[in-house]
Amino acid sequence: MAVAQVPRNFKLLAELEKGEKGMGAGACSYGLEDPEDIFMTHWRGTIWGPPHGNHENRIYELKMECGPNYPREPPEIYFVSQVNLPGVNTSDGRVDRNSVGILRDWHRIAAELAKNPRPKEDPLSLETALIAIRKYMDENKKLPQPAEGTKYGIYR
Amino acid sequence: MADAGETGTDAQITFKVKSSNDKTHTLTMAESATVLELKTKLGGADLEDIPADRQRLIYSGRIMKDTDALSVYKIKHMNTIHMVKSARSNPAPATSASAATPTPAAVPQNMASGSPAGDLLAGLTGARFAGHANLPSADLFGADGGMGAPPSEEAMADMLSNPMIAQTMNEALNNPSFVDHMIRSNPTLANMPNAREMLQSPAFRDMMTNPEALRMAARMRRAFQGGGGSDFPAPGATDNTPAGAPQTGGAAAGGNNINDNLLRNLFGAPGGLGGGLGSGAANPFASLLGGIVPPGGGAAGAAGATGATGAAGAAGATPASTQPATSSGNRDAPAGGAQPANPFAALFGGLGQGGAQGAPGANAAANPFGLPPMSPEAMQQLAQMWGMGSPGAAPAAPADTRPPEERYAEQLRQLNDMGFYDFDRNVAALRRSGGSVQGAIEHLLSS
Repeated sequence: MAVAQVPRNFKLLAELEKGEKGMGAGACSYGLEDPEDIFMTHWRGTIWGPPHGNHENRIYELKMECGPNYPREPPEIYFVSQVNLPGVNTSDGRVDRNSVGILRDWHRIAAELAKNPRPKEDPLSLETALIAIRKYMDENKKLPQPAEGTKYGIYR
Repeated sequence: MADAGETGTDAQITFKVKSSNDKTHTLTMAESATVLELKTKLGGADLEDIPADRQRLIYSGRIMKDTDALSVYKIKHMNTIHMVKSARSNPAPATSASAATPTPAAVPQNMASGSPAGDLLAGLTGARFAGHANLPSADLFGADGGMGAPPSEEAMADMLSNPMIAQTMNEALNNPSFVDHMIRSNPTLANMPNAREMLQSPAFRDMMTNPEALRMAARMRRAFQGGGGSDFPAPGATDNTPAGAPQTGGAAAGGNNINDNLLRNLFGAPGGLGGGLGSGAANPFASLLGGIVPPGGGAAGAAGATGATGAAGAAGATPASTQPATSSGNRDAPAGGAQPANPFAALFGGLGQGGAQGAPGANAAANPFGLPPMSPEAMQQLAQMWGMGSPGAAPAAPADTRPPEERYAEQLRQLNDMGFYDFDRNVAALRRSGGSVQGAIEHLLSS
């Protein structure tokens, strides 16, 4: 277990630093739900709604869970803010992996990475997942959205 | 700009605030200060000049609440808070639609929980797009998922005579990354130190791109197979159910359509039934070479050499079925055919060493590159890599007795990746399509 966790934790620490320092693309933000969580399992994320559509000027809150097998396994991602998107569960905000490209292809990409462990850029991270979701939102920007700030029942 | 503004008894933190227009401010405040105080400060004309109620601050993935103290967020030294302007003053049209009601009336109520990604297409297939969108339909692939009649060798050769296509092939082989990809995605090639040289060798390239070589292969095949008998088997004949297995006829048919298959797969013919591909894979190379070196020399010899090991699936001659083995083996042997799932052995044996390798076990000698006998699957992969045609059933395998999960491991994995998880249905569909993933999907989607 310890052996398997080292790369996971190194990676998550690097992601955490990137998130806290705001070194990302500036369209999303993420960090630990509880900064004391030494297993770095529960994460919070926000997505700035993509412009020119019904998501414009909104901020969506999400939560993400990185299991023990991250990054081999994709994170589980839930919308906390209510959102009307196909593939997002209407009762708990869970994002269906098959609806977002990077989550759907996560295993395949991870397998590729295993062969070439030092790519120039890491294609699999919480940030790239959030950006992919944001892009997916942009593709569905015409869908009517619930009032901003409403959250799924279980998070109220 | 950075100053310790608030009451100074408790700890101060220094952090950055990054605004949506990419300006960054470095601020120091007391940990006990509230978020609202920070916003007020940011709202000053010297910083962002935005009213506090239109600012939203986000740290580490969470929206900061006005009433919270900064200490709640455990901001670390020199970390970054994001500031995003909200649009209170000009609400987006969408918000206005539902903002008034606490319940999101505009959200479709019928979305089942965990609505599937299939909904994605809902927007595309709506009536308003009727007649506009060219959605792919079954028709696009021809009858039975693109498994229509294969083009003749002449058609293939003609296609290769097209300078554009010949050039494309050449470029592909000249492109190191393409060659890399080919080598990497094929275990057999990956294990072979000089696969690259081989793939890039002029001889190999010539073979792949020369229409004359193709025509020659076709002629030879006809000559050896008594002409005319090379009709592609009906799709039903490729149904790999073990029950329908070892029949002489089936095996012979497999042998016959070998060349068609490989050529089709290699050179981009549509379709990809690929019934006899595994075995066929070997044949064209051998016959090609047979045409280039003295016929009946090296190629055929090498054929015999590797046949014992490599040809497991070839022409249905799996070890499990002795009967088809003899029939198809005898039939094809003169063509240099029954043989080598290892085309390169034949290739280079023929080129380099003449016809010395008649005896079984001469495989190594026949194979200057130390290429292990290529399995039908490997050959199939190689063919696929040329990017054309869909995966065929590996060995025509009339007598393939392996369990489906093993025989179709690769295809099942692909189907799984695409979201088809029902093992039994996948296997049934693959059997029906003769192992073609394309065909199986067609079937899965239509049933």
